[in-house]
Amino acid sequence: MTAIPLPDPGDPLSGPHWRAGAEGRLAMQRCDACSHVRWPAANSCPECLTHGSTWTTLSGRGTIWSFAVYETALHPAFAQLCPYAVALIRLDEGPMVHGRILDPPDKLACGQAVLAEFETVAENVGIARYRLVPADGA
Amino acid sequence: MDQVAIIGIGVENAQAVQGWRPEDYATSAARAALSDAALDKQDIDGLITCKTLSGAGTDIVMGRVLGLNPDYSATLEYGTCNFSIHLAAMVIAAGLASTILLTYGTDQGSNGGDFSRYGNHEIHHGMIDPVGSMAALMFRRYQHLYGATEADLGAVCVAQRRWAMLHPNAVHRDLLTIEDYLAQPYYIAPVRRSDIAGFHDGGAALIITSLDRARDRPHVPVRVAGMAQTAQLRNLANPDNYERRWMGGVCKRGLAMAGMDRSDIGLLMIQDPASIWVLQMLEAMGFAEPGDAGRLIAAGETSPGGRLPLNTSGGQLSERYMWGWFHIVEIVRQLRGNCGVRQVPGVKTAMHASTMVAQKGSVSVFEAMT
Repeated sequence: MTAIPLPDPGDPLSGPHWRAGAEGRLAMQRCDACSHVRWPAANSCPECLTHGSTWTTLSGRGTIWSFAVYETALHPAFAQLCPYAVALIRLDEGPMVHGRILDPPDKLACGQAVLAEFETVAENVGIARYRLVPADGA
Repeated sequence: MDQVAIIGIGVENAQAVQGWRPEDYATSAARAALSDAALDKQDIDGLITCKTLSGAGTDIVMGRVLGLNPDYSATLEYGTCNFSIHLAAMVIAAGLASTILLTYGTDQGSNGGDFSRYGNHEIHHGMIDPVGSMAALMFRRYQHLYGATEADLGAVCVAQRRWAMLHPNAVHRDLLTIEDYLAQPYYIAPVRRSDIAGFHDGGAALIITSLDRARDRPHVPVRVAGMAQTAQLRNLANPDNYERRWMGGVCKRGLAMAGMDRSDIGLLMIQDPASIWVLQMLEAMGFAEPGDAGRLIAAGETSPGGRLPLNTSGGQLSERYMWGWFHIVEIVRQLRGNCGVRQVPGVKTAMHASTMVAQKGSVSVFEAMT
């Protein structure tokens, strides 16, 4: 397996996100002044331009805006995963994120509900993957 | 807008010239543009250059290579053709320079391959090729919204190939049928290789000057009649940003500046690093109803002989990927009436629409000064 660049858990801006992922939590900054949840990580709030924020555990729930399916790997690191889907997901708290969907690509559709789970890919680096939420909510 | 016109165009179509850097392709194109405008280097008092993905071709480097000390020079961080043309128009209107050379040159065909090597910031999700993956996301969403078929998307590739077959300098000139297209494997489903432009070497140059100076040149000047931009810098924080609907406002403002309506536009050149860009922009700008662009293209309306000629050079998908610069070269050639078998009969007006991924949008409206 050819290595790919991984997120840096020591990054002053985004490090807490990756470290929370290693603990099984989807965490983003919530603005202390206006409560806006922001992603990508930033020192100030793009809504109210203030600096204070608190890393907050989110629900991990979202909906698939759209998804792209890699039937053949464009990088050897992903050859064993094919076919796999990477989705653009609107989290219930607002931010749009990219994430790999663990369900078979032929089961997916835009608008489906998904829930995050976490894969620890390196020490203190957990990346959110997503699974379809069954329609009955089970 | 009644200030500036394009009076010279130059291209370099050579591929993988031994020892050439991006600036060499740009210089060769610049020499051709000066010749086209019947100007000497000394007539140039402004230089605006387009930086490549790899950072080459800035004004600092190009000025040295071209041996120029202009009154004004600049390189935009993102200077694909519309954006650099708008800057040139502003510089002339502000009186900082009167005759501007614009250059772009790249070796990304022989030195880069394709989009899959660039900007893979989301690779930890397995997301590779920012343009191909974005195109897949955009078209899947488009299908979800409108029930569009893959043949609707393939129609873009097929129609542009028909134009490219009439263009001697196009890279891809083999017949492409919709059956050929649908038989291709997915690149990143639901898009295929033909949906994504490959990389090529080459260069382009334009010379833009004030209208009073434009009138005594050898060729029909092409006036920049209208311009508009948008900067959707919040990107994914904007709802449905990847649908590019904001190009509607850009088009409206560009046409308003030109004092024209959509129906006045005789030629459309839409930037097409991926085919879905074309469907989205046609619809956002009102040239097709939402969800109907693929049918319109498949019906031949944008093909040779159609009522709405679109990407008549073959575009980035079939002519070559030159960051919008060759779209403008094609507009100037068409408005001069120099396009031979692919000439749009009697065309006097054209529009170029482009975006920077989904973060900037731009429209220019052009008119032949006859």
